[in-house]
Amino acid sequence: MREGDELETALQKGFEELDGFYTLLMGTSDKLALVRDAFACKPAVVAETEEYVAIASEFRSLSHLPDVKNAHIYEPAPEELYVWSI
Amino acid sequence: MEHLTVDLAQTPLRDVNHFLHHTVSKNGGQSISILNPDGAHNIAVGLDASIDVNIMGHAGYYTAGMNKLANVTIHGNVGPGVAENMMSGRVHVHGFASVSAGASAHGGLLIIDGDASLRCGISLKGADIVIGGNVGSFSAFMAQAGRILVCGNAGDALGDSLYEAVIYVRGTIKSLGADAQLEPMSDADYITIEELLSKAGFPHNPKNFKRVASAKQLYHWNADANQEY
Repeated sequence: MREGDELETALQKGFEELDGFYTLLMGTSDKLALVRDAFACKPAVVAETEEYVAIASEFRSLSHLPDVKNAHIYEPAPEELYVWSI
Repeated sequence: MEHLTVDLAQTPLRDVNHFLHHTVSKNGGQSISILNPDGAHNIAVGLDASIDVNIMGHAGYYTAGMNKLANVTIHGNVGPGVAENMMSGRVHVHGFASVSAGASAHGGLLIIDGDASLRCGISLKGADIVIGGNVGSFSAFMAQAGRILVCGNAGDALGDSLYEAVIYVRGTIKSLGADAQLEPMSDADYITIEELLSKAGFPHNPKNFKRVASAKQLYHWNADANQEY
Protein backbone atom coordinates (compact mmCIF):
# COMPACT_ATOMS: atom_id res chain seq x y z
CA MET A 1 0.00 0.00 0.00
CA ARG A 2 2.99 2.24 0.64
CA GLU A 3 3.80 1.73 -3.04
CA GLY A 4 0.39 2.92 -4.12
CA ASP A 5 -1.87 -0.13 -4.08
CA GLU A 6 -5.46 0.20 -2.93
CA LEU A 7 -6.38 -1.82 0.16
CA GLU A 8 -8.26 -4.39 -1.94
CA THR A 9 -5.41 -4.81 -4.43
CA ALA A 10 -2.84 -5.15 -1.67
CA LEU A 11 -4.87 -7.86 0.05
CA GLN A 12 -5.45 -9.67 -3.23
CA LYS A 13 -1.69 -9.69 -3.80
CA GLY A 14 -1.29 -10.91 -0.23
CA PHE A 15 -3.20 -14.08 -1.15
CA GLU A 16 -0.57 -14.80 -3.79
CA GLU A 17 2.45 -13.77 -1.70
CA LEU A 18 1.68 -15.03 1.79
CA ASP A 19 2.19 -18.61 2.83
CA GLY A 20 0.87 -19.99 6.10
CA PHE A 21 -2.12 -19.44 8.33
CA TYR A 22 -3.54 -16.00 9.03
CA THR A 23 -6.64 -13.96 9.61
CA LEU A 24 -5.95 -10.30 8.89
CA LEU A 25 -8.04 -7.37 10.01
CA MET A 26 -6.85 -4.13 8.41
CA GLY A 27 -8.09 -0.61 8.78
CA THR A 28 -7.43 2.53 6.75
CA SER A 29 -8.90 6.00 7.30
CA ASP A 30 -12.14 5.03 5.53
CA LYS A 31 -12.15 1.23 5.17
CA LEU A 32 -12.04 -1.94 7.22
CA ALA A 33 -10.99 -5.21 5.61
CA LEU A 34 -11.01 -8.81 6.78
CA VAL A 35 -9.32 -11.76 5.03
CA ARG A 36 -8.48 -15.35 5.92
CA ASP A 37 -6.00 -17.73 4.34
CA ALA A 38 -7.16 -20.66 2.21
CA PHE A 39 -7.13 -23.10 5.15
CA ALA A 40 -9.08 -20.83 7.54
CA CYS A 41 -7.30 -22.26 10.58
CA LYS A 42 -7.38 -18.98 12.47
CA PRO A 43 -10.93 -18.42 13.66
CA ALA A 44 -13.09 -15.43 12.76
CA VAL A 45 -16.74 -14.56 13.08
CA VAL A 46 -18.65 -11.45 11.99
CA ALA A 47 -21.84 -9.91 13.38
CA GLU A 48 -23.48 -7.24 11.27
CA THR A 49 -26.43 -5.02 12.10
CA GLU A 50 -27.63 -1.70 10.67
CA GLU A 51 -25.63 -0.03 13.45
CA TYR A 52 -22.32 -1.86 13.51
CA VAL A 53 -19.97 -4.49 12.13
CA ALA A 54 -18.28 -6.52 14.85
CA ILE A 55 -15.46 -8.99 14.24
CA ALA A 56 -13.96 -11.42 16.71
CA SER A 57 -12.37 -14.83 16.83
CA GLU A 58 -15.51 -16.38 18.28
CA PHE A 59 -19.12 -15.56 19.09
CA ARG A 60 -18.38 -15.58 22.84
CA SER A 61 -16.75 -12.17 22.46
CA LEU A 62 -19.72 -10.72 20.58
CA SER A 63 -22.52 -12.12 22.72
CA HIS A 64 -22.79 -9.03 24.94
CA LEU A 65 -23.26 -6.61 22.02
CA PRO A 66 -26.57 -4.74 21.72
CA ASP A 67 -29.13 -6.41 19.46
CA VAL A 68 -26.64 -9.18 18.61
CA LYS A 69 -29.51 -11.69 18.69
CA ASN A 70 -30.86 -10.05 15.52
CA ALA A 71 -27.46 -9.54 13.87
CA HIS A 72 -26.45 -11.29 10.68
CA ILE A 73 -23.78 -13.66 11.97
CA TYR A 74 -21.42 -15.50 9.64
CA GLU A 75 -17.95 -16.93 9.32
CA PRO A 76 -15.89 -15.21 6.63
CA ALA A 77 -14.99 -17.63 3.84
CA PRO A 78 -11.32 -18.41 3.17
CA GLU A 79 -9.48 -16.31 0.56
CA GLU A 80 -12.32 -13.88 0.18
CA LEU A 81 -12.19 -10.10 0.65
CA TYR A 82 -14.58 -8.54 3.15
CA VAL A 83 -14.36 -4.76 2.94
CA TRP A 84 -16.53 -2.19 4.72
CA SER A 85 -16.41 1.53 3.91
CA ILE A 86 -17.29 4.37 6.24
CA MET B 1 -41.25 -36.26 29.94
CA GLU B 2 -40.01 -34.03 32.72
CA HIS B 3 -38.78 -30.67 31.46
CA LEU B 4 -36.11 -28.60 33.18
CA THR B 5 -34.61 -25.24 32.31
CA VAL B 6 -31.20 -23.90 33.29
CA ASP B 7 -29.84 -20.45 32.54
CA LEU B 8 -26.14 -20.15 31.75
CA ALA B 9 -26.33 -16.48 32.66
CA GLN B 10 -27.08 -17.62 36.24
CA THR B 11 -25.47 -21.05 36.59
CA PRO B 12 -21.80 -21.82 35.78
CA LEU B 13 -21.34 -24.17 32.79
CA ARG B 14 -19.33 -26.61 34.89
CA ASP B 15 -22.33 -27.03 37.21
CA VAL B 16 -24.68 -27.49 34.26
CA ASN B 17 -22.51 -30.19 32.68
CA HIS B 18 -22.10 -31.90 36.07
CA PHE B 19 -25.86 -31.84 36.49
CA LEU B 20 -26.31 -33.34 33.01
CA HIS B 21 -23.76 -36.06 33.71
CA HIS B 22 -24.78 -37.06 37.21
CA THR B 23 -28.35 -36.03 37.94
CA VAL B 24 -30.23 -35.87 34.63
CA SER B 25 -28.43 -38.80 33.02
CA LYS B 26 -29.23 -41.10 35.95
CA ASN B 27 -32.95 -40.57 35.55
CA GLY B 28 -32.93 -40.70 31.72
CA GLY B 29 -35.85 -39.71 29.51
CA GLN B 30 -35.68 -36.10 30.59
CA SER B 31 -35.74 -32.91 28.60
CA ILE B 32 -33.62 -29.91 29.49
CA SER B 33 -33.35 -26.44 27.96
CA ILE B 34 -30.19 -24.37 28.33
CA LEU B 35 -30.78 -20.63 28.08
CA ASN B 36 -28.22 -17.93 27.22
CA PRO B 37 -25.43 -20.17 25.93
CA ASP B 38 -23.77 -17.00 24.53
CA GLY B 39 -21.10 -18.93 22.65
CA ALA B 40 -19.77 -20.82 25.67
CA HIS B 41 -17.48 -23.76 24.91
CA ASN B 42 -18.06 -27.42 25.80
CA ILE B 43 -21.80 -27.19 26.42
CA ALA B 44 -23.38 -30.63 26.91
CA VAL B 45 -20.17 -32.56 26.26
CA GLY B 46 -19.77 -36.18 27.29
CA LEU B 47 -23.46 -36.99 27.76
CA ASP B 48 -24.19 -40.68 28.14
CA ALA B 49 -27.96 -41.10 28.54
CA SER B 50 -30.98 -40.74 26.29
CA ILE B 51 -32.01 -37.25 27.32
CA ASP B 52 -33.14 -34.29 25.21
CA VAL B 53 -31.03 -31.15 25.48
CA ASN B 54 -32.06 -27.91 23.81
CA ILE B 55 -29.44 -25.17 23.64
CA MET B 56 -31.37 -21.94 23.07
CA GLY B 57 -28.86 -19.77 21.18
CA HIS B 58 -25.36 -19.79 19.69
CA ALA B 59 -22.84 -22.20 21.22
CA GLY B 60 -19.04 -22.29 21.16
CA TYR B 61 -16.39 -24.94 20.65
CA TYR B 62 -16.99 -28.70 20.98
CA THR B 63 -20.72 -28.47 21.62
CA ALA B 64 -22.13 -31.95 22.37
CA GLY B 65 -18.68 -33.48 21.90
CA MET B 66 -18.30 -37.17 22.74
CA ASN B 67 -22.07 -37.49 22.79
CA LYS B 68 -23.57 -40.89 23.57
CA LEU B 69 -27.32 -41.57 23.32
CA ALA B 70 -28.43 -37.98 23.95
CA ASN B 71 -30.47 -35.89 21.53
CA VAL B 72 -28.93 -32.40 21.51
CA THR B 73 -30.49 -29.55 19.52
CA ILE B 74 -28.76 -26.21 19.09
CA HIS B 75 -31.15 -23.37 18.23
CA GLY B 76 -28.38 -21.25 16.78
CA ASN B 77 -24.87 -21.57 15.35
CA VAL B 78 -21.98 -23.59 16.76
CA GLY B 79 -18.23 -23.08 16.91
CA PRO B 80 -15.54 -25.56 15.87
CA GLY B 81 -15.84 -29.27 16.59
CA VAL B 82 -19.56 -29.75 17.17
CA ALA B 83 -20.32 -33.40 18.00
CA GLU B 84 -16.64 -34.30 17.69
CA ASN B 85 -16.05 -37.91 18.70
CA MET B 86 -19.79 -38.57 18.99
CA MET B 87 -20.46 -42.25 19.69
CA SER B 88 -24.24 -42.37 19.25
CA GLY B 89 -27.34 -40.21 19.61
CA ARG B 90 -28.27 -37.19 17.59
CA VAL B 91 -26.99 -33.62 17.37
CA HIS B 92 -29.00 -31.09 15.36
CA VAL B 93 -27.68 -27.58 14.61
CA HIS B 94 -30.35 -25.19 13.35
CA GLY B 95 -27.80 -22.58 12.25
CA PHE B 96 -24.33 -22.97 10.73
CA ALA B 97 -21.37 -24.95 12.06
CA SER B 98 -17.78 -23.76 12.16
CA VAL B 99 -14.80 -25.92 11.22
CA SER B 100 -14.33 -29.63 11.98
CA ALA B 101 -18.00 -30.45 12.57
CA GLY B 102 -18.40 -34.11 13.51
CA ALA B 103 -14.65 -34.69 13.58
CA SER B 104 -13.77 -38.34 14.33
CA ALA B 105 -17.39 -39.16 15.18
CA HIS B 106 -17.88 -42.92 15.56
CA GLY B 107 -21.66 -43.14 15.45
CA GLY B 108 -24.91 -41.25 15.73
CA LEU B 109 -26.33 -38.56 13.48
CA LEU B 110 -25.20 -34.95 13.11
CA ILE B 111 -27.59 -32.63 11.24
CA ILE B 112 -26.58 -29.11 10.28
CA ASP B 113 -29.39 -27.07 8.74
CA GLY B 114 -27.10 -24.32 7.45
CA ASP B 115 -23.56 -24.42 6.08
CA ALA B 116 -20.66 -26.33 7.62
CA SER B 117 -17.22 -24.74 7.41
CA LEU B 118 -13.94 -26.39 6.43
CA ARG B 119 -12.89 -29.91 7.45
CA CYS B 120 -16.42 -31.11 8.17
CA GLY B 121 -16.33 -34.83 9.02
CA ILE B 122 -12.54 -34.96 9.17
CA SER B 123 -11.41 -38.47 10.15
CA LEU B 124 -15.04 -39.61 10.38
CA LYS B 125 -15.20 -43.07 11.92
CA GLY B 126 -18.77 -44.21 11.38
CA ALA B 127 -21.26 -41.44 12.14
CA ASP B 128 -23.69 -39.95 9.64
CA ILE B 129 -23.55 -36.22 8.88
CA VAL B 130 -26.27 -34.41 6.94
CA ILE B 131 -25.60 -30.81 5.91
CA GLY B 132 -28.50 -28.71 4.61
CA GLY B 133 -26.20 -26.10 3.08
CA ASN B 134 -22.65 -26.10 1.75
CA VAL B 135 -19.48 -27.64 3.19
CA GLY B 136 -16.08 -25.97 3.15
CA SER B 137 -12.82 -27.26 1.77
CA PHE B 138 -11.08 -30.43 2.97
CA SER B 139 -14.33 -31.95 4.20
CA ALA B 140 -14.26 -35.70 4.90
CA PHE B 141 -10.45 -35.61 4.95
CA MET B 142 -9.23 -39.12 5.81
CA ALA B 143 -12.79 -40.21 6.66
CA GLN B 144 -12.68 -43.89 7.53
CA ALA B 145 -16.32 -44.93 7.85
CA GLY B 146 -19.75 -43.34 7.89
CA ARG B 147 -21.77 -41.25 5.46
CA ILE B 148 -21.80 -37.55 4.70
CA LEU B 149 -24.73 -36.06 2.82
CA VAL B 150 -24.25 -32.53 1.47
CA CYS B 151 -27.43 -30.89 0.20
CA GLY B 152 -25.56 -27.83 -1.09
CA ASN B 153 -22.12 -27.47 -2.65
CA ALA B 154 -18.72 -28.78 -1.55
CA GLY B 155 -15.47 -26.79 -1.48
CA ASP B 156 -11.97 -27.78 -2.53
CA ALA B 157 -10.31 -31.16 -1.92
CA LEU B 158 -13.48 -33.02 -0.95
CA GLY B 159 -12.73 -36.46 0.50
CA ASP B 160 -8.95 -36.16 0.35
CA SER B 161 -7.33 -39.48 1.34
CA LEU B 162 -10.71 -41.11 1.95
CA TYR B 163 -10.93 -44.60 3.38
CA GLU B 164 -14.33 -46.33 3.51
CA ALA B 165 -16.61 -43.36 4.21
CA VAL B 166 -19.00 -42.35 1.43
CA ILE B 167 -20.00 -38.80 0.53
CA TYR B 168 -23.13 -37.75 -1.35
CA VAL B 169 -23.33 -34.24 -2.80
CA ARG B 170 -26.39 -32.61 -4.32
CA GLY B 171 -24.73 -29.44 -5.62
CA THR B 172 -21.38 -28.71 -7.19
CA ILE B 173 -17.97 -29.96 -6.05
CA LYS B 174 -15.21 -27.37 -6.42
CA SER B 175 -12.56 -30.07 -6.50
CA LEU B 176 -12.00 -33.62 -5.30
CA GLY B 177 -9.09 -34.43 -2.99
CA ALA B 178 -6.38 -36.99 -3.66
CA ASP B 179 -7.81 -40.48 -4.20
CA ALA B 180 -11.46 -39.34 -4.06
CA GLN B 181 -13.55 -40.15 -7.12
CA LEU B 182 -17.09 -39.83 -8.40
CA GLU B 183 -18.75 -43.21 -8.65
CA PRO B 184 -21.99 -44.46 -10.22
CA MET B 185 -25.04 -44.49 -7.97
CA SER B 186 -26.60 -47.82 -7.07
CA ASP B 187 -30.07 -48.61 -5.71
CA ALA B 188 -28.48 -49.02 -2.26
CA ASP B 189 -27.11 -45.45 -2.51
CA TYR B 190 -30.57 -44.04 -3.28
CA ILE B 191 -32.02 -45.93 -0.31
CA THR B 192 -29.26 -44.59 1.95
CA ILE B 193 -29.85 -41.02 0.79
CA GLU B 194 -33.61 -41.36 1.21
CA GLU B 195 -33.07 -42.64 4.76
CA LEU B 196 -30.67 -39.83 5.70
CA LEU B 197 -32.86 -37.12 4.14
CA SER B 198 -35.88 -38.44 5.95
CA LYS B 199 -34.04 -38.55 9.32
CA ALA B 200 -32.82 -34.98 8.81
CA GLY B 201 -36.13 -33.70 7.48
CA PHE B 202 -34.86 -32.34 4.17
CA PRO B 203 -37.21 -32.60 1.17
CA HIS B 204 -34.68 -33.23 -1.65
CA ASN B 205 -34.87 -35.84 -4.36
CA PRO B 206 -32.25 -38.61 -3.88
CA LYS B 207 -31.86 -38.77 -7.67
CA ASN B 208 -30.08 -35.38 -7.56
CA PHE B 209 -27.12 -36.59 -5.51
CA LYS B 210 -23.69 -37.75 -6.67
CA ARG B 211 -21.57 -40.36 -4.91
CA VAL B 212 -17.95 -39.73 -3.94
CA ALA B 213 -15.83 -42.53 -2.51
CA SER B 214 -12.23 -43.68 -2.36
CA ALA B 215 -10.40 -44.86 -5.47
CA LYS B 216 -8.27 -46.86 -3.01
CA GLN B 217 -5.05 -45.99 -4.77
CA LEU B 218 -3.50 -44.78 -1.50
CA TYR B 219 -4.24 -47.97 0.41
CA HIS B 220 -0.82 -49.31 -0.44
CA TRP B 221 2.47 -47.49 -0.62
CA ASN B 222 3.50 -46.78 -4.17
CA ALA B 223 7.23 -46.09 -4.42
CA ASP B 224 6.85 -45.10 -8.07
CA ALA B 225 4.47 -42.25 -7.24
CA ASN B 226 7.47 -40.19 -6.10
CA GLN B 227 5.31 -38.41 -3.50
CA GLU B 228 3.12 -36.96 -6.29
CA TYR B 229 -0.52 -37.52 -5.44
